[in-house]
Amino acid sequence: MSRSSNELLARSTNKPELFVEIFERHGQSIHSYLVRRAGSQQAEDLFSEVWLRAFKARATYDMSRGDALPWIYGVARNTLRSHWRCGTKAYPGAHSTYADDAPDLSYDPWPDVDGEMDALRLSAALHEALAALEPADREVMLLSAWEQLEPKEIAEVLGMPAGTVRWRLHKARSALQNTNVRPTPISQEIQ
Amino acid sequence: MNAFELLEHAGSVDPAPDDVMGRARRAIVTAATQSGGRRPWLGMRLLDSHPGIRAAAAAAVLATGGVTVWAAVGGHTNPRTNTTIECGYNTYIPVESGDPVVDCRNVLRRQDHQVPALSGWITPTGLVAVLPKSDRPPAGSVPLPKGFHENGSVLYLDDEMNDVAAPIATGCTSAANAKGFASKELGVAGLSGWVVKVRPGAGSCSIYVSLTDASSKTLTLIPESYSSSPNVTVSLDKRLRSQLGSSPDARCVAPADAAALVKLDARDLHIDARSVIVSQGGAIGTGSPKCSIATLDPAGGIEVTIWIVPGTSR
Repeated sequence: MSRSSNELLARSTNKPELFVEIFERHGQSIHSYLVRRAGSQQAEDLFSEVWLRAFKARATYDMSRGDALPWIYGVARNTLRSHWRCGTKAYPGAHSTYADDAPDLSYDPWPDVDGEMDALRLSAALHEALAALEPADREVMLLSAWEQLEPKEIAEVLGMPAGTVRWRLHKARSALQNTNVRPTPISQEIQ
Repeated sequence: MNAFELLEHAGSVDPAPDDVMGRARRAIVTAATQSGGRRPWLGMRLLDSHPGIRAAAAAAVLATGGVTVWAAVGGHTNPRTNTTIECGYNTYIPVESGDPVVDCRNVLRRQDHQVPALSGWITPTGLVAVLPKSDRPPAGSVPLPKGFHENGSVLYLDDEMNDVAAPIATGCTSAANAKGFASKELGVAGLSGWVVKVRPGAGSCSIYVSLTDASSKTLTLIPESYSSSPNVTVSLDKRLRSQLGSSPDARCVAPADAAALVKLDARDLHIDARSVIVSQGGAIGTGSPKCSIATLDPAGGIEVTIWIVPGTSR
């Protein structure tokens, strides 16, 4: 019987080689998450850093959580946050603090994410509707729509109660419901 | 298509390219090899004691375009070289008894040093330092566990299998060839009873990185996509392999001569001498004649370890 990701993560504290198995399971998901928020080039630069941070911080993982994937999304989110705040894509030095998995909802990375969404060809109306959402509502919405996470998992990524996530998801969905969602026609793009 | 469906659709992206996955995988493998408090082949260097050398080495590699798949750990300054004991400060000694503290004490005694009481530490970066008991170790260090034993053969195996220019890492290799190379190196190291496993996923053109697990006597080969990344570290490694390894022109030389050869080759390749750190790994395996070979560290600066191996078996 194959081990669950959270069991692998917990056991990797003493058997670090097991962490490679976690990477094999979730590497693609985390890469997609980074691409959607920072673009392919930046994602390439940040991908290894996310996994090294997660590896270094694995001892801080709480085994009582569900699957390990939301925790790794949390590490990826904080790596992105550091990247956006510092305006650097350099890898952290050996003496950096890796166990930085505490979520921070005070920072709104929307302008950076939105820049990448231009390449995704959303309709202008949907752009506007997403931009008008509260940052936390938008974050919940994107984790649900793009990462296909359940409210309980989103709650773990963002460090908020699952009930709050459900409420924010409801608010975001309601706000987007009446949006004119037609994609931008190609002819308009050329102009 | 409603707003949510469109949003979901807009979020679809291409899968991560093989080389991006490979770099991250290699970084994790490197980190895993360096860490793990209970594993007996932890690094034997106290990097924190000579940051100047590290900085010079890293600068030299970067200046010569040494950012490659091999240096996937980027600014992660902890090198993978796990093969030498730093005894006191800036003194590197080979594995002899396997007990870092005993080996360090013996070397200092042979040099007529007044030997203080020594203690061994595992630093926060997973490396091992032997220091006078009166000296404070790097912050966050923990005492070396009782019974800690350094196995030179395992260190050699790990170094050789992950060397930047090892035959399984320099070009397309089949799983059978990679396994054959691993078996041969196990023989060179004199390690018996080991199992070589190959992870699935090898393509038509794969290279292999290795996970060395002494506790289960397992060597796992992990295929990665091939990416040619010529740089000065690889050039030096290939040159040394042709001179010291099993190539027809290779010579069987003593460790001191091998170390001198490293310096000469580095000079020919216009590598700043300060960026090259040469350490002695010690003698491993059985059989004769005993010849020197060199393995190069893939991350950080250019760290060369000279090993004495049975010459006829290479």
